[in-house]
Amino acid sequence: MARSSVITHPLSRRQLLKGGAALGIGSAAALGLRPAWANPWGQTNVYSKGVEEGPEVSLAIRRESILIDGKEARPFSINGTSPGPMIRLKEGQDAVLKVTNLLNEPTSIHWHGLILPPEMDGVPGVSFPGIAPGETFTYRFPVRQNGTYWYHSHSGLQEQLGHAGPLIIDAAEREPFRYDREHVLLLTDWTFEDPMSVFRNLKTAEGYYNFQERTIADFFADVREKGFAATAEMRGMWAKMRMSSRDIADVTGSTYTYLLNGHSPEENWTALFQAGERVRLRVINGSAMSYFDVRIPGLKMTVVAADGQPVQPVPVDEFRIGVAETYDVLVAPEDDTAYTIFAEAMDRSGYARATLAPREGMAAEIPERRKIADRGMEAMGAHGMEGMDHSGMGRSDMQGMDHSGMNGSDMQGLDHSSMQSMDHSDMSGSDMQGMDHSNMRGMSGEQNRMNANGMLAAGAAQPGSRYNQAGIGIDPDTRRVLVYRDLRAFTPWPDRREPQRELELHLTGNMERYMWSFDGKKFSEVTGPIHFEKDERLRLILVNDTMMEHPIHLHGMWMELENGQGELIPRKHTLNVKPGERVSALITADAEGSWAFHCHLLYHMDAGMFRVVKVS
Amino acid sequence: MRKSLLAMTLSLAAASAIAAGEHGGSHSATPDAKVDRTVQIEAGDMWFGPEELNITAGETIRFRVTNTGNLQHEFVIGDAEAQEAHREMMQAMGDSHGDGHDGHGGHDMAEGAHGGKMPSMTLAPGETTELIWTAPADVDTLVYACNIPGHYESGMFGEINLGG
Repeated sequence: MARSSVITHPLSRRQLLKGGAALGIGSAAALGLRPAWANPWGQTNVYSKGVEEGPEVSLAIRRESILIDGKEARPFSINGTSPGPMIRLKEGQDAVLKVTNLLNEPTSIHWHGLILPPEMDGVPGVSFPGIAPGETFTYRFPVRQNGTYWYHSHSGLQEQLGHAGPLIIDAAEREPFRYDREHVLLLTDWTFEDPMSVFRNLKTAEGYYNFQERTIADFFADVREKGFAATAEMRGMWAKMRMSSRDIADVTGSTYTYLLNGHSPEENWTALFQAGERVRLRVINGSAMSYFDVRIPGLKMTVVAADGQPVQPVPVDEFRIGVAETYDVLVAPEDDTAYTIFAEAMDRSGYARATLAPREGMAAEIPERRKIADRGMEAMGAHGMEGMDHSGMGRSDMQGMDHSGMNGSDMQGLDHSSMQSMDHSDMSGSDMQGMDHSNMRGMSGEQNRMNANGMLAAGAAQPGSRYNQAGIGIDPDTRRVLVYRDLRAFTPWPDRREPQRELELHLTGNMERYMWSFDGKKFSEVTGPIHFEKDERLRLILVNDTMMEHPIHLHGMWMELENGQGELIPRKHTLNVKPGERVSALITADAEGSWAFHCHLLYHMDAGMFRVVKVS
Repeated sequence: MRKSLLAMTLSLAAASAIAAGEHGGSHSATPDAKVDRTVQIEAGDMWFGPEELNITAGETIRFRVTNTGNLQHEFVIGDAEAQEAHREMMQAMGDSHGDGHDGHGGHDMAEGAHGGKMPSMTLAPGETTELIWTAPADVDTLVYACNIPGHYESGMFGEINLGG
C-alpha cells in the first residue's frame, strides 16, 4: 500500500502502459556512489528503490571518503551517500525521523520549508541542543503539507560539504497538474577546500574568489562607451562602497564544482524519459552560496510550484533559483532526442549540467556561458521602470506613502552627488517616454487601497520592489524568464486579514570586513529575539541595503510574498531580495515558540545575518 | 472516474451515427433535434474529465462543460497543430495584457492556423456551458484543450478518437 500511495496524480490507461513499458527496460549501471534517488529513470510508483520512505525513516550521518567529480573527497554522508537519500513522506502521515550522529562533532537536520512544532525544527541553540556524537535524535511531527522541499544540517558549515538531501511530500489530494514521470534535480556547490578556510579567505580578502575584477582594459572600454567623466565617477562610487561592480557572488567557480544530484558537469548525470511524456522536474537549490539560472534549450518549462506550493502555471524558457528555493516545472519532450539541463551560476563562473534523454549515454550541446554582468545602477535601486516610477512620481503622487525605500537612509555610504547624477542620466528625455504609464496608474490606484491602519492593502507591491525583473545578468528580451511577479496562488491563503503592523528590517553588510547583519547588528550583537505577537497578522518589510542578493528564510511560518497579486499572492519559505530592493511579505504568527530567521547564504548566516523570531 | 470513462467510451462506440453536420463541425446553429448525445465534461484546475473520448465521424454531440476549478478555463476542439497555434497566440497576448480573453461564458471561435476557426467556449469558475458540435469525417483524432497560458502544458487537454 505504500507503493500505491506514492503516485497521486491520475494517469490514463495509455500513460500507465507507456510508463510501464519504459520501466521494463531496466535500471542503469551504477555510476560511483550516487544517491539512490538519482536513478536515471526517476521516481514512479513502481520504482522506489533506495528511497527512504516514510512515515518512519532512519538516517545515519557520517564523514567518509567518496569520489566527487572523480576526485578524492571527504563529504558528510547520509546513509552512505552525499548528498543524502531522498526522503519521501505523504501528507497526513505522522513522520518519525531518527537521525544518528556517527561523527566526532555535533550535528543536526533542519527540514527546510516544513510547518512543524518548534522543537522539531532542528536548529541547534534555537529549537534543540543539537545531536551530540553517538546520539540519536528522533524527530516526530505531523505532515501537514505537500510538495518539493529539502533538508540540511543547521550546524556550523556542514551543509557546504554535502549534508543535505531532497524531501518530497506526496499530496493527499489531486495536484493541479498531471504528469507521467518525475525527477528530482538537486543543485549544490561543492568545494574541495575546508569550509572554515573558505570563510577565513572571505574575511581576510573579500575578493578572494573573484577573478573577474575589472581591469585597466575594461576601464578604457568604458571610457570609449560612456566617456571619461562617467567612467571615473562609476569607479569612484564603487571604490567608496569598498566593492567591485563584479561582486556578483562572493564564493565562485574558482573554488566550487557545481553539482547536479551529486554529479559534476563532466559526469553528465542523465534523467530519462520517453518521447511524448510529460515530466515533472523538482528543482531544489541546495547550494551553500550559489544562485542558478536554469534552462533546457529546446524545451518550454511550465512552472507549477514554488517553494513546494502550487502556483498558477507559467510557461518560461528560464528561471533563476535562489539558494534554498525550490521550483517544480513540467516539460514535454516530443522528440526522441537529448536535451541539456543547464544550470548556470548567477556570476557566470561555472555551471551544473545534466542531460534529459530517452536513453543513457546521450548528450546535447552545452550552451555558451554568458559574460559576467556588471552591477550598475540596478544595485542602487535606481533601476529600470520601477525604480524610475517611484522617483519620477515624486512628492505629489506619493503623499502618505512610505518614502524610506527611496530616501538616503537605505543608501548608507553612498555619495549623494553621484546618486543625483545617476538619476538624471536615467531620466533624460527618451527614457521618460519609455516609462510605463500603466504602472503609474497602478500606483495611484494603490493609494486608494490603503487599509484602515494607513498601510498598503494586503497583497500590494511595495514601492521599491522589482518583482518584474529576474535580476542581474538576465536579458528579458532573449527569452521568457520567470519573475516573482508571475507567481500566483490558485486560491487565497486562509488568513485574509489585513496586516495589523509593519516590521521593517534592513539587510546590511560590510563587504570589506565580511560582516553581514540585519539592521547593522550581527547576531552576536543583538540583545534579544524579534517578537511576534501570537496570532498577529504582520507585514515584514525587507530592505536590501547591500549590493548582493540575499535569500531570506523564515522557519516555522509561511511568508506570503506581496508581489502585487492581491488575494492570490504566493507563499514562500525563502524570499530572494535583490540589491537595493524593498520587498514585503504577510505573516500569520500562529506558530508559538522560537524560530530561526536568516540569510540562507551559508557564510552570511555564519557571519551574523541571523536572528531568532519568538512568537508568544 | 475511471469507470465512468469506460462506460462513456462503450456507449459512444455503440452509438449510431446520424450525421448531418458539415466538415469542420458547426455548433450553435445545429438544432437540438439533431443531437445524437450529450457528453458531460468536467473542467478542473488543469485537467479535463474524461481525458479521452471516442466519437464516430458525423455524430452530433452536445458537450456540456462544467468548470469546477478556481480559474477561468476554455474548451476548444481542433487538431493538434491548430491548438498549438492558438496557444502561441494566447501566450503572445497574455504577455502584453490579461490572459488573452475578453469576457467569458460566451461561445467564440478560436483562431487556429491559417486563419482557420475552431469551436470554443470560455467558462468562468462554477459556470456550465453547452456546445453542439458535429464530428468531421476526414480526421482520425482531434484534441480538446484549454489554451490559457500554462493550462495545456499542465495537462489540461484530452483526445477525441474518431477512427471508429
